Amino acid sequence: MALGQYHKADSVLHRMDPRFKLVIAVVYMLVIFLANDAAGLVLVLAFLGVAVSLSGVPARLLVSGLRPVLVLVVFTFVVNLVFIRSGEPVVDIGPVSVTTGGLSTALFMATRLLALFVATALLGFTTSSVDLADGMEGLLAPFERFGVPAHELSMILSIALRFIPILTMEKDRIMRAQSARGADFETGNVITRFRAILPVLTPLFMSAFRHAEDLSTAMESRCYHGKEGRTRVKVLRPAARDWYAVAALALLGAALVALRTGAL
Amino acid sequence: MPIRFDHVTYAYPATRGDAQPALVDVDLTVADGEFLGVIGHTGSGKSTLIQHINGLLLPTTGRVTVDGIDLVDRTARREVRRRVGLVFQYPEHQLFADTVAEDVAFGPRALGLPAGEIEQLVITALERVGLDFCEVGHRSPFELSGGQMRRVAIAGVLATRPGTLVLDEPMAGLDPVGRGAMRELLRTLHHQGLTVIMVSHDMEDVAALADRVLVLRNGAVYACGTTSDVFSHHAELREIGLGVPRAALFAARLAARGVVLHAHPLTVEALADAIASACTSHREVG
Repeated sequence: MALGQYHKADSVLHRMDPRFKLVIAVVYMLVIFLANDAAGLVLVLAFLGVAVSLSGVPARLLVSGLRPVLVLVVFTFVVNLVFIRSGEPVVDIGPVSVTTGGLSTALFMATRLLALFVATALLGFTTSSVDLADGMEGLLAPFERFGVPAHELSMILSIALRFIPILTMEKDRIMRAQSARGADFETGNVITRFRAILPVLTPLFMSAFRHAEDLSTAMESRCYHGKEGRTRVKVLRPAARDWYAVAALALLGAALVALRTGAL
Repeated sequence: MPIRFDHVTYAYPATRGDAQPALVDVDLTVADGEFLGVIGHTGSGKSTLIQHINGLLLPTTGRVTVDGIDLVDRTARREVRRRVGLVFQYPEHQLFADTVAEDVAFGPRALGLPAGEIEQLVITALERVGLDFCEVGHRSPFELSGGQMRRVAIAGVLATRPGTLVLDEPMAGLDPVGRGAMRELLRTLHHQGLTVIMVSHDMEDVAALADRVLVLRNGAVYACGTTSDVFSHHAELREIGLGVPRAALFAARLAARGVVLHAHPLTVEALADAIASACTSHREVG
């Protein structure tokens, strides 16, 4: 979803070492689940808020990037609200009664989910696909001795990311071409809609293969041969800001653990 | 079926705040049986323009009517899509079915025509693009040559028997032989009574085929007139990054050296004729 929609800017987050960014994003997403009370949730959101404000990504863009997953967040909220029946009843809406337990669980789940999505989106917005692939390669490099093809995997990742927008455009083009021939993608039940996809899917696959062939020819004619002896234009080197970010995340984690165990 | 653009402006939904419209106040009428060439620099709005003709895009302001039918109406749009066949760039990339016949039948079937009628439509459509149903009908479209695939794709659009054919760069990527054959095909279709609108960046193709030429620049109509009229404005066309047909250029160079031809030749053949007749009259005078 949010991957591949890079927002070009020059912020602290953009300049961060992608390896650190990746690890921090993943650890943050795990840490979110340590928060089980209001104070914890506030800390989790505060951390995210600081990250967003440092990222230089316009709020408008962030919101529009999250629109597709908002449905899921709202759905989670409503389901929890309706089906959890612990605590005191707050209000009755027809046959459904909302309880305090339901309300707090719903709020928790929805907020956690939202934080999860915002963190992912932020990673996508501040990390170009090249940086992302570099970061992944850097993280996988230690496992190379166990036979993990780190360079190849990251190359696959960066090519895949690069082709998302291209194939999206292609899909739009094919859909327009087929609807000019009378195809209807807007009406009908599930089965007719599914059948309508076939005339789009086949040409899309063909085009993916065509792109793959062109790309492999281009790579081969430039004597690409994988990891062996390759040097990099941009050598990843952690800077002070990367360690600050790690420290901030560690503090957040410690605070959440403390909250949970009642030490605070 | 006349196609009317009534002060059409179109702006793509702003993604990053740049609301520069792709079409600006386009006013245009295409008469029945006409062959209109559309030229313009990359990004001048050619593709946006043709997608308005069958309602794939709807004007932000203004109105597009085909045969008096306003394309804003959703049910009318379906009817207009049958009447106006739109052939995109590299149309062979939209082929998908197991056999050529199946692919060509896609349009008529989507329109819900009876099965008995569809087969005849497929046979006729293939015939019109110079392919034999018995020979290629049962074959996979993917085992045909590039030029043949493009013909199949055009047949797929012709199968619904549109009165107007709109083509976006129909010659793109074809070799000289395929190019010549495509020109011939379009000429034949036009002579059969189809209204043809062709977007092209190749001035030779436009000069050889079109009755009238529309020049777009930054989404607005820069010029619109008969082919010879438009191509007589060399300097203006050059200024906006477009060329003129070789024959017209040659005639202009001759004129600059004092040899004035009495016609405005647009094709090499017409140029040869004009030079020949100029020589004859010169000899008679001399």
